[in-house]
Amino acid sequence: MKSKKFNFNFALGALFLVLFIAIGLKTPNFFKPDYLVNVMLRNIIELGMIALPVTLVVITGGIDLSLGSIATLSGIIGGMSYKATGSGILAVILVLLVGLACGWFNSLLVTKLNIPAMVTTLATLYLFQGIARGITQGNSVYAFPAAKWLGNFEIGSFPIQIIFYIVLAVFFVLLLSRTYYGKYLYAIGHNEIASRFDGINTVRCKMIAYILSGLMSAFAGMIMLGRFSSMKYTAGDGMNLKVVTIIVLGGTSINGGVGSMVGTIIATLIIAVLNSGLTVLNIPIDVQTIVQGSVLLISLITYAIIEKRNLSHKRHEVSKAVKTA
Amino acid sequence: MPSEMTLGLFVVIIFALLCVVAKDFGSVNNIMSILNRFSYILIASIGMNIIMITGNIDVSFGGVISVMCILMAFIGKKGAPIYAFMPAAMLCGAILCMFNGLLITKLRIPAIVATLATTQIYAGALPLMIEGSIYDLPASFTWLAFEAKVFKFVPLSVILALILLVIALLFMKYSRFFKSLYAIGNNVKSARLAGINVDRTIIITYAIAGLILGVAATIIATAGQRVTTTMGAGMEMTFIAAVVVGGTSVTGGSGSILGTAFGSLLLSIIAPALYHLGISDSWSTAVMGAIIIIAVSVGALKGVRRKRTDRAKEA
Amino acid sequence: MGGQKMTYALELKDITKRFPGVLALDRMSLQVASGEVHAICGENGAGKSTLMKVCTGVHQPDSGEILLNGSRVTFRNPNEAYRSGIAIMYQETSLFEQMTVLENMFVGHEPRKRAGLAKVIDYAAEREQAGHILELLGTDLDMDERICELGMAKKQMVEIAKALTFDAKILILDEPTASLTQREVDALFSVILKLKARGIAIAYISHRLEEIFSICDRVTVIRDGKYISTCNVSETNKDKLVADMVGRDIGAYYPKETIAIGGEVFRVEHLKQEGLVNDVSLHVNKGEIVGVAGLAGAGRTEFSLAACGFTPADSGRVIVDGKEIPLRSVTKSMDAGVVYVSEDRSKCGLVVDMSLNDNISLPQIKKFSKRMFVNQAKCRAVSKDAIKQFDIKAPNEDFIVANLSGGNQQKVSVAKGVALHPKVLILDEPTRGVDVNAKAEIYSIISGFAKKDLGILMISSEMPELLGMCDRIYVMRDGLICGELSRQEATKEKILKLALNI
Repeated sequence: MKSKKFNFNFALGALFLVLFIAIGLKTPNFFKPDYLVNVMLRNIIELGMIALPVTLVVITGGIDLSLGSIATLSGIIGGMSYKATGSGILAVILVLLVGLACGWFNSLLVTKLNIPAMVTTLATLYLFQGIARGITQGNSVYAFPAAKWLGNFEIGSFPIQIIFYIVLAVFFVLLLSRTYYGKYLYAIGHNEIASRFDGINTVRCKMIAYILSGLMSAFAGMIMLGRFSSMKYTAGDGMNLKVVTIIVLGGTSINGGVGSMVGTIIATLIIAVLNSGLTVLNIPIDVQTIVQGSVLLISLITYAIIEKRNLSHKRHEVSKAVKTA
Repeated sequence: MPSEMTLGLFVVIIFALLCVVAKDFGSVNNIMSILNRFSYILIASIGMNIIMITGNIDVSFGGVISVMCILMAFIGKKGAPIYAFMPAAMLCGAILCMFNGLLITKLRIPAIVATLATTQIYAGALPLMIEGSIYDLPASFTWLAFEAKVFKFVPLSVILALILLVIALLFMKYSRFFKSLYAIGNNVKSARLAGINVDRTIIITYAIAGLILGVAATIIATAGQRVTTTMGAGMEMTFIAAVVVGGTSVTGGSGSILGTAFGSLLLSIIAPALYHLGISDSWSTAVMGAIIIIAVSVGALKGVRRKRTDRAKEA
Repeated sequence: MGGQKMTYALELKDITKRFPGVLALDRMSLQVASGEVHAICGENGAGKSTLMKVCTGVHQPDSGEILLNGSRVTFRNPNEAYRSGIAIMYQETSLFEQMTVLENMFVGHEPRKRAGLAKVIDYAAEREQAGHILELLGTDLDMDERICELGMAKKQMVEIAKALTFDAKILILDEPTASLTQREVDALFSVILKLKARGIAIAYISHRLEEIFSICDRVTVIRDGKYISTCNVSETNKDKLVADMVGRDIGAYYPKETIAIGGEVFRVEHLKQEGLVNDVSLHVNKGEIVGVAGLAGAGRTEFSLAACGFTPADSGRVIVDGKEIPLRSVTKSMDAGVVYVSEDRSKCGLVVDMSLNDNISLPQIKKFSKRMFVNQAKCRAVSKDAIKQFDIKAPNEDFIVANLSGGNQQKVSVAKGVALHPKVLILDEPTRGVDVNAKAEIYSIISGFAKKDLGILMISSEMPELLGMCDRIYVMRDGLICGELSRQEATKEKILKLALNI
């Protein structure tokens, strides 16, 4: 089982390299470190960060479609509070609090009321965005110092956001693959009832995953606010599709139980290359949207085919390895 | 079933309350506007309902509507009448939604993700073909909204919606095909065993929904002299809300057309209600989201209560 | 089994079915006559399930013939089989929960009539036909009730009614009494007799030998995909059947050793749960194997779930080794040493898509972790140990549980509980759906653990198992303990009488 996961990630890594080199060969400017860092990586950081905890959510069999709205709402509340109170610290606290509250709200509906995550987060996508729209009356909100720092500060010529991402990425990789919490998530994704019978507090595990997603979405929202200096309630549009694309491309199954954080990270890089590559090749934005939608479909189809082939392969191995006792 | 009647009563009470509390809510102008919204919301929601009964969903309705509107404007700009561009829209809708159905059945992509992807594709493709919007549409185009009236004041669009409602009610009760939708939503495996061609049924359901959506899109497009590339953006939420409020289970297998009708009525009152209550239109999205959450939560709580009595019964 | 030339309702001749690497059916034969109730017996893995799948069109045989009333037929899919009049009733019903009984009976083939240009569903015809069928079955089902509001027994009635709308001539029942109360079993049997009288051929698959001797006319034994024997029920007995199924001398079927019984290790006092557990008090001593008998629906599983904190008990006390443990907390219960092994291994007992190692170490993986990080070496040590101890037939501990046979899966489920070093082990139907060989192995493991000062509470619906393994047997009925029997005084009749309140 383990070897298969490695093959997957190696294949993804190879895909990344191929794309990277191909685009670079077409436009040598692509390879300049300044470009790589400022265009390719910077633009993917928010999505990449959100994709990390949402991978956990998807592994448990759920999904979070409201992530873009959480990012927007938290950023907006942070900005508005700074405008009202002048306190940067309060702004940061509020941002994270809002993210936490939104994630917690999602988890309540999914775990306590057993409403399918797909419907819940689709509804909260609108609720959270709606609240953002209502409190801003459609106007823009401006960045506050902490957000600006997150969005723009650089160590040397290395943006601070990337460093944050690396730290978070390592954290989530270890969380999923080495801790017992990670094992619990896989078990819940495969068979929630049996997990409960093993003494796992499935409700708490899932709530933690959703709250982490909310928190990370808020954090990413703050970075976005800083980077773009201002934010409107529509800022989160389309984010959920992009994050889901990253997660699915990385090998995590929408049905739960299967997935890898490393896969998500490599997929993040692939999408980064794809996005910036398309920009560099001067392909219009609207085509880029189509490409994004297509990447998701293609990934889903590919993995579905692979899974079908795996199942028939497994049956063959079963009868070879074990005779009925 | 009594629960739809409860909903209907609820909507009527809300309406009456609003007439009392909000200024001009009961005015002829407002009623006309509500009826207009009601007509296209009802039609589109019927399409959404049949899809959701099978346990699926389609969040690309908004994008499809936008595509259909632009298509109709294209055809109608030269003066083509409604019976030329409406069928074109219906066909277009059927094809686009059928594509969704194919992705879901043949490629086994979960409905939410598939239609999330196609929404992007449709929404992204549109601006490539048209710059911004098509305007200066002739009177032949806006005929349905401005001139088509039955008995001199009832808009034809409302009559269309009601006719479709009656047709839908009849089909749901008496058609073997539509019965099978409930079976599929309940238990796909058993549905197959019962001889139902599940894949084909789902694809046809999406196609029918697309067809119906064409009628709704026509009502939307002909409302003014200008058609933009984002005409339908976000509308799917309204339809999903109407269906869910009407009692259709999000996991499929149950739900009625009558419930969807009452749900559509409720949803068509919201935007005018906010306006007449002096609440900024910016809050409409939040209200919509809240309504869906409340409706779904209520349905879920009922299910939780049933499960508890089930367990007691099994003893 | 003479050379009589008789036309059977269903006949299988020399059916062979191969899967990659496995010969599932080897020139299998079967003959079921109209109006006959024909039992099919065999271990798990003997081929019963494949046999049924061939009969119902799920699999197509590689060679051989299927004959319906003497004419050769081929089924390309289950739907064709169903429409030819062969219906099968599995343990999980294939009904549509949100739809009514009437709708369920006719889905996919509703009678239609012309109304103008269109064909509409003819509800009047449906009701008439349904009325006839329900009357025939003698059941008080309400046509307009939704399936989700019915109990298991009524759901089975709907399945049978549905089969009759297809004019089914052959009905296959797969372990039909598994979740029924005795009254419901009687109702089912009377329906079977009525169907018999109508000439319907019934194939009855069951592990419950008492039922076979009670309702069936003939019994066929199969083993390793091969046909072994068929005889009239009146001309055989359980030992002969078991011998045919196993193919060799069984020996110590119930390895029961006399062990010194120690002090009390588990006590439950007046446990109550609204509607499910009325007032249960019992105790288990160290080294004891205590059985809990009762018919389906007596509340044994519900009691266990409440005692272990999986479901919220309303009141009562649970005392382990002299210390009272709080109710409603699975963690505290498990920490105190109370371990429950579920009766439904694929749904509740195991995460079948994960490996043996993952499954066995899952309940205690937290303990094997230092500051959240799992110590895989410790996990594997426990898993390897379990595989050896239980003789689980798997190449290594990374093998996916789903690929194991039923008996081995059950072993993993029990091993997982045992690996927690519990003070009291509650086994819920530990040998359900397990073949005779694995059963024997599990029994000896259970006996072995009794030796180690463990208290074992064994819920079982199989009388022989209870009588053979237990030191004491509680009998439950309607959520109450209605009797307690010692090993010496317990007999099947006494248990049954207590369970039935006679």
